[in-house]
Amino acid sequence: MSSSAVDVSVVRRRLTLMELSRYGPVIGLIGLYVAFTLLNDRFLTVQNQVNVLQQVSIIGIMAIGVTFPILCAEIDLSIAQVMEVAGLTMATLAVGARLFEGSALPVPAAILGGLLLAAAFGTLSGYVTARFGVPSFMTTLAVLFLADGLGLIVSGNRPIIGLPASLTGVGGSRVFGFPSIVIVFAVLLVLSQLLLSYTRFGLYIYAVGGDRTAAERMGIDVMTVRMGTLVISSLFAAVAGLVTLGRIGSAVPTMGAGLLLPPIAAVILGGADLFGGSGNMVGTLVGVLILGVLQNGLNLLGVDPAGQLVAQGIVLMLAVLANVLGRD
Amino acid sequence: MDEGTQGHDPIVVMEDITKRYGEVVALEDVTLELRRNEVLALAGDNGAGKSTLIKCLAGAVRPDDGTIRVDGEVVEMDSPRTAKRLGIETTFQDLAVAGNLTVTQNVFLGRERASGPGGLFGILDKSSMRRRARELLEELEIGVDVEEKVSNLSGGERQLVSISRTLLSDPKIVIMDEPTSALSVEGAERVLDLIDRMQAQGISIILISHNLDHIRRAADRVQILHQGTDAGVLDGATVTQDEIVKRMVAGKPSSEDERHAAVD
Repeated sequence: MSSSAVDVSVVRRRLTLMELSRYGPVIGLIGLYVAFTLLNDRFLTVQNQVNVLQQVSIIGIMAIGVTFPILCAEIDLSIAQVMEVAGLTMATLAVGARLFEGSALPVPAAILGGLLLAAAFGTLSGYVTARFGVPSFMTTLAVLFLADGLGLIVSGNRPIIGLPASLTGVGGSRVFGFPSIVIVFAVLLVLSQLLLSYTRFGLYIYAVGGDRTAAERMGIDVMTVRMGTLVISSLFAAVAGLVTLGRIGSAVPTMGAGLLLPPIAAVILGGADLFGGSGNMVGTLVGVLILGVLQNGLNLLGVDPAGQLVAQGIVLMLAVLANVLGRD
Repeated sequence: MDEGTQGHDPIVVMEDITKRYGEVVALEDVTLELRRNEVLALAGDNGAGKSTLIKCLAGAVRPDDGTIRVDGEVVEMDSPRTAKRLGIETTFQDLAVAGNLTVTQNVFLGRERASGPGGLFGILDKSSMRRRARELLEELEIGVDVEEKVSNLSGGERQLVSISRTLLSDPKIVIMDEPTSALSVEGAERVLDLIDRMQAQGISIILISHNLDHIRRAADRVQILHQGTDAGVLDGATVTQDEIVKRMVAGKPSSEDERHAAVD
């Protein structure tokens, strides 16, 4: 039949596009490394590479977290504000200031308080989404405002200083000369990939993200899975808030500003399907590094922040184009 | 009624099943008998009650009236779980396979082999599932790579995967809802071959289909429904297309008052 020849060429084209969207991010990252190494001799040094890792860790932790809902065909728009309110809560609880004036808690309890608050936000948006079918971009948008407001209440809209060393130590110390914030990022990355690859929950995230009806039919508890991904992304945002306390040495009510979109952009840059069901943490790491290396390299070349934004926009546009074209 | 079951060893008898949705009567006093190791086709126009009837047997719908017997025992088919426990598996019309997962993952979806903590945090035993899936597909002579993503398979192959999934638990009875609709000629042929092999393995099968050629090719007997009522049973080997269509459109001929008279 004459149609079979057409079919073959369609399949071939689709294959090359799929391969492109699969390996494109890695090729892009390598390209950036080669280019910046040739253009600037300070780029490929141990010191600068450690700098890059340190600079991307906060966005990286949030990106790992938000990878879970994206794989599940959901989105979490509240991560920046949840990161903020969780960090502020940990700080005020540990110091015993502002809303918690005079009732300082031990540092582990303060951290737990921030994590629980974040989990509560994730549970709220997750429940309303999974139980009542409200799209997660709406429920997490509502939580964005809730968390933002609560952050102002907790902190009194002023920075919290004089944090205990054990609180700032999580993100602001060095272990064998290596920044602790990078270690936190690496550990969470590995654990998340293991969760995705080897547990039922990980498999179900892909199943629900790929075909929710089929997953429901096969008896999967779709509601718990969807909720779970939003709780996880909130928890990771809270950890990002925790390490931020160490990175800047205090808690600032605006410390989440501008941190919503870079993590989401990184996930998509890393090749995760925009509509759920495919992607992984290694891809997210690549996406995070593309953003970080681009910024660092352009900095070294003396390109101003405006130019850096333009470059990031171009890269992101190319990535989403490859992402959609490569969908199977 | 009794003359219909004598000497035929029925594995399922659904008797006088009635189901109403408000004012609408979906099924009225319908009787269905599935004999051991036969392929029984269920035919009827859209809205004739085929899906409702098999949903009653699969535990997805509870009839308002009537009894269901499996292996001679009256059973309360109150949930899909109960049906599965009794060895009844169902394939769905819309397949329920996830394209982004592999064949193995789809075959085991919802009943993965896992160790360690239970529930969602169970550690998947991937190699054991892969082995079992490969074994199962080889047994059924389905030439599909278990590592392949289902989105790369043809419609027919997806249907084969969907059917093979029902065989994981060694069922006695498999209900198939339109397994050959929307398939190419070649795809449908492979599904019909698989039905033959399943029958050879001793499974009793209910096959819902619109395709009269497929019915005549696969079925031992044909149960016909017309507007929620029993329109009689015909012999699969000798039935003509005209006879099936006539009953699908007009119901049981008035000359034929005794149930199952055409066969027995």
